[in-house]
Amino acid sequence: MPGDSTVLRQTAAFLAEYASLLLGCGGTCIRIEKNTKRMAEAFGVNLDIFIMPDHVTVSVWNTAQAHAEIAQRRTAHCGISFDLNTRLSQLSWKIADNRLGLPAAVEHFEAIKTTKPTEKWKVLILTSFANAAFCRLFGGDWFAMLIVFVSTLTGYRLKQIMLEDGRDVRLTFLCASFFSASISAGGHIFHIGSTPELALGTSVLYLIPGVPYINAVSDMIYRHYLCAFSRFFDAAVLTACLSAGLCAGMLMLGLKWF
Amino acid sequence: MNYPMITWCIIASVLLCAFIYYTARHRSYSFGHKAKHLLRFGRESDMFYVPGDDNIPGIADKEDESEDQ
Repeated sequence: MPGDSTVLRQTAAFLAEYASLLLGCGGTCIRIEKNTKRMAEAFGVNLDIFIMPDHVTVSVWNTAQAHAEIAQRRTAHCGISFDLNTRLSQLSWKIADNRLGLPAAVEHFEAIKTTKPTEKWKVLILTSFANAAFCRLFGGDWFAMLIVFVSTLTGYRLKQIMLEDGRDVRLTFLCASFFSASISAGGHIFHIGSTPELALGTSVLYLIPGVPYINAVSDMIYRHYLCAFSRFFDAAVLTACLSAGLCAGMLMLGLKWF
Repeated sequence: MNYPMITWCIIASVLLCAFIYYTARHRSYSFGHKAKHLLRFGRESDMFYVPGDDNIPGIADKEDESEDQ
């Protein structure tokens, strides 16, 4: 029975776990709200959700509004993952369309939780190619693209190593941008290619926290102001760190372009 | 070589050394040897023992013996 206290408690716990994982993997607040409400309707319960930057609180009550259960979970720190995000959204539709019960939903959810992140070497190579393509988009020549590829490869590898080692993410961004900018400045120092300034400018673009910025705008549109400001300032701090690293690299190498 | 070239070479060398050091440390871990750290940064989870504390961190049963002296 959906109105049963134990079932309500389990439902609230499941929905809170789901919401915390979706928030942690980069879901916007409106997506979390829609997905959890879709599943709550399928389970035959009413739901209210309170999303904060670090916590998610789910309140579930029966249709007679005689009994309610509240579950709170800390936001999962799993890193942004589009794969996980998609699988969690698919799960909500599967539950709604096939009217899956709570045990089956939990089983599917546990399977999704074991989703492995994309291989680090694959991400490293693809990010380097993507950043080199960025350089081309801005008008860089083939030498500039090669320089951006190498500087991204080294900077991103440094970022992976430092994050694996548990270093502070702001320090990591600062170091990665410093080394990427310094390596890419080689084009200007050794007179390689005709667009060394584009190589330097685009060498740190892979560090721009795009997803938090976009999510901040989405949250602001749907009036989740606290989450929006939290995401925006997180992203702004990281952007400031990468800017500091870029400026430090340029200063150390004596490049005076501004 | 002028100043920017020397600086660039130093920065590239530092990065290369860092990668070599990391690879060597990683390999020594995978072969089961404990890596020796010449320089380490502390983490916020690190515990520090202060004389007078009851328990010595990392050694569950051992207590501060200076109390009896």
